[in-house]
Amino acid sequence: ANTFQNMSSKAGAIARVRKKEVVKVIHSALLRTNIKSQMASAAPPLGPQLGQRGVNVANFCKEFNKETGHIKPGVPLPTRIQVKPDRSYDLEICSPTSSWLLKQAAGIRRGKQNADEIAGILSVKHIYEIALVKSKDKALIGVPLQKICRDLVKQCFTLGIKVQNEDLDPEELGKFLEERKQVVADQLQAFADKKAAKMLRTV
Amino acid sequence: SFQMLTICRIGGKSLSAVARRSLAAPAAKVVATKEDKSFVETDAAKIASHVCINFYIQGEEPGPAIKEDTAYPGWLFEMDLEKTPILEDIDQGSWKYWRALRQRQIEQNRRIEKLKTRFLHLQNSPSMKK
Repeated sequence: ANTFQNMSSKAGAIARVRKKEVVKVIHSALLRTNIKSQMASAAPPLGPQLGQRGVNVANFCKEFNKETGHIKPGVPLPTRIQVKPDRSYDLEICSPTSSWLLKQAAGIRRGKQNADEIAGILSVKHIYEIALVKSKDKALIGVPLQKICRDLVKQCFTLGIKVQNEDLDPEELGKFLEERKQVVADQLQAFADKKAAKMLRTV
Repeated sequence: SFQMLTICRIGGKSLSAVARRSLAAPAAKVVATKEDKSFVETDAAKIASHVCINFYIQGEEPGPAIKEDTAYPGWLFEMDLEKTPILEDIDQGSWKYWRALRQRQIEQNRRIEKLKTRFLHLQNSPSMKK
């Protein structure tokens, strides 16, 4: 009964706010995206997202590419762009996406495609080092390393990376990566076949 | 069709966002040129001995080294590495079982609430699309 009442009051509040939408409130818009380092461009999806908020796209791309000049090109970086009413912006570039870091550490390009598939193997020590990198983010100041490690482990579940307490064994890891290469090649082949079949069907 | 399959798999997101993503992902895999620029470590020995996450141009290649067990805090080896078990796998009758059962009932109630008539405008149903 409690949940029903909470839900209805929330829904009622939402309904009431929607009717008052005529009054336009000016918020400074926060844009959260992942932009590849040194590869910011005016092309979609970034160009329209910036343009709609009134940011000078060319200037932004130049500034972003300059700021990420010390980072290898092509690394996805989560960025938070706070656009102010006078069209200037605050740019906050965070450490690379955890999924990219985890995949790099495990030596894989693709995560798992179905449940119960193991895409890679890591040890808790890898997780610790990655957590050290992530902890330098502004958003993760004051967050205990334990929590960051736990969150990375949870992300490993979704990526399909198995985390083990022991150190990684190079021979077994080499064997696993070889098998995995074959599995990934099969998956990509299946995708390409489906796409080709679809093309033929429409023709 | 293939596009529909990907949309069904990635549930709970807006259709336009999913459509854009499903179109981008297969194309990037089929076209090989973009893959070559990104570098992923393939040497198993390096992966096992170092954390190959160095993303700076002038950083220590290939990244921080893996140290002895003693260099890491104790809680690191006592982390829970198992997925959160679903209700069916939890020990029947324990506190966690009853807690998980109650959480499942709450989720079910939430799903039923969303199906009420006053949320008709939020239904993601084929008959509602133009």
